[in-house]
Amino acid sequence: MSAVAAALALSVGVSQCGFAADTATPSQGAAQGVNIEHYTDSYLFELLEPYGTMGNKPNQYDKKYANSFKKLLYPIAVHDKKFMGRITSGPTTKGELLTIDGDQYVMHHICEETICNEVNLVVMYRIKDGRMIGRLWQKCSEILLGDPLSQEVSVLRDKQGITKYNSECK
Amino acid sequence: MSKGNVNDFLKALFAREGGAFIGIINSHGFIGKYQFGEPALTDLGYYKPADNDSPYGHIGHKFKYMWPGAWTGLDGATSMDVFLASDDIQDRAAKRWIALLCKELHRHKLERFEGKNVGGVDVTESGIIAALHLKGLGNKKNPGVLAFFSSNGAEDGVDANGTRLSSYMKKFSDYDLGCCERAAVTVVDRNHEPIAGLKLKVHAKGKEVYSGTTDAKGKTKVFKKFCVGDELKVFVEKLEGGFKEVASFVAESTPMSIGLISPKILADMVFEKHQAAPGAHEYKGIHKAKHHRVHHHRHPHQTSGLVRDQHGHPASVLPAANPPPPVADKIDSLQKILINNTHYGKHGAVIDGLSAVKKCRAGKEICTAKKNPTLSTGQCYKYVKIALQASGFVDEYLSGVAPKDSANNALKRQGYTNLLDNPGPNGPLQSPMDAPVGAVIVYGVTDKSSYGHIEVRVDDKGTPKVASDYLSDHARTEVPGQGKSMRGRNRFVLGIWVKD
Repeated sequence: MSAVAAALALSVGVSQCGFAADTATPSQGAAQGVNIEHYTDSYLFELLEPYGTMGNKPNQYDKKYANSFKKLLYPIAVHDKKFMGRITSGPTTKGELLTIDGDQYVMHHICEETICNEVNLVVMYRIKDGRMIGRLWQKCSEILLGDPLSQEVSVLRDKQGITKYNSECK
Repeated sequence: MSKGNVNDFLKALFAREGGAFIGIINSHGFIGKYQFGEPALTDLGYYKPADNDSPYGHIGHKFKYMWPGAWTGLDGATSMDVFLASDDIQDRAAKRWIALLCKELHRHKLERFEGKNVGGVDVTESGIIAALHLKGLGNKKNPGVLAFFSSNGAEDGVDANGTRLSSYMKKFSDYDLGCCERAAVTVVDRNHEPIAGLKLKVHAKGKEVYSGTTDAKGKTKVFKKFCVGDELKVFVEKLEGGFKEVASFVAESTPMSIGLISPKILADMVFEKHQAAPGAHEYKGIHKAKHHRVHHHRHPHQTSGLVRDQHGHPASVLPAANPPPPVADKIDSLQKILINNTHYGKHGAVIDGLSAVKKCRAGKEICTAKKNPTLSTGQCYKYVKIALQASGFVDEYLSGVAPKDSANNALKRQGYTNLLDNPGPNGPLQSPMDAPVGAVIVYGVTDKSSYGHIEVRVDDKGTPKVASDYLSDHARTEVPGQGKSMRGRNRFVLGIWVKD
């Protein structure tokens, strides 16, 4: 775990023990019947948009994933109707597989086009049950989405890596 | 002060366009750290679109690049995966892209807007490049950079997410991209007749940036790949083989034309020979020249700074249209221009710097609107830049927008000396008002002001004052009646610059 993550973990009163997120291989603790590569080979927009898939790949649209994403961002989108369009406009990563306390999550990063350092979202999707959590960095502050547990918060912060000290907010 | 070089510019661009990840794609199919689309990587030579691929992207349920074509292998990018996985390849592509945008900038003569305020934006080269990256040149339906300038900032194009072109221009201002410097060498004899067919090379910082032969007008092709501040060396081919250094000087601004005059050439050569076909000449005389003299033209019809040749001799021999006046006359002229113009101006007035220089030289005012001379219009650096150039203290319009960031370096490049670094026999100055008349005082900030301040020490009918866009009898750091101070009122003195 990085020093930043350790410091953040301490700042939220969480022990460093027992919740380290490991990058998992697809075979580790895979939920039965789930094709992990479906998540790790897909960019976020490919999972969210029915016609979003790049190149010649089979359609990667995932209705369950897309619904979790919409539900996660509803508290923001209900006050800001254009938010969904903006946050999904920017670049996204492919999924990264992580395990926390034995559960597999797939993590994606996405941000608002041309202001990635100002409006930036990281989401983690628990494969076994489709629960999604996230950390939105916007207006120089974090918004935790989906009621993440303390160890999940630490992973989100560590992986997103944006704080007011390393952004343009300082 | 500059925000940095091309690498710093790209770092800032990556932060906004890519966040922190390099292997990224957005839903429109823009890829990587700098979010390139198919047309950009096609223009740069990395990608070859499929025959049936529209250059404007696929439009299914929405605009999207699908990248069905082939990767050329340039810089090792044999596929999109390879491109996306490599920081190095993406950075190389971005530098090529900046160079391409620089060409666009010059092709459309957008450099003429540099140093001007357009639509509330102080225009810089890097700002234009960033705006070109965001919106391109644009067209009628989708206004871009050309519309922004032609409408004086009124047509401020936005991208799909509402990012304004002007905001990008501001955000990315003041980087030294170093990709747009251009120069050409002209070689003439002492009668100013061109010397054609002369083989010469130019080195910048020890690297060859040009190798070629002068044309019938004695000119080389335009070359670049050097930056302001680099030492340029010019070599000519010797008869017995090899090259000989004939001139060495620092590039102070661009574009520039470097004139070489060889007094020996005329005596030793019959120049009718040069009218023959290229490549068939014998230029024995050229190689007997002891040294060539250099004249460095930045702006036609303006006097040049002193340039010395390799032997240290003053080398400005081409006739300058306006020979530089003595220093005392320049100080007089500087004060007169500044004090007179503190009576004119208004907040937000768009003042074209170079036009204003011409006006001042003709005895006219910078701005027609009258004002109280003690009131600032927020254009201190502009007034000082104009006055310094019009009075002949500097031979180019100083670069930069915020005096606290740019003025020190700009003045240093123009041969000014900072009295803070070189105090005189009486020791360090206690107050900007102790500076000699004509000194340029540059201030930093202790509050959140973005600009700082700049002013010139003047003598107004026997009363010591400072002038910029306003006239004051106390320095920016001082309060009347509270004594001398180099720091105060949210400012501190960064430099007190003088020129002999």
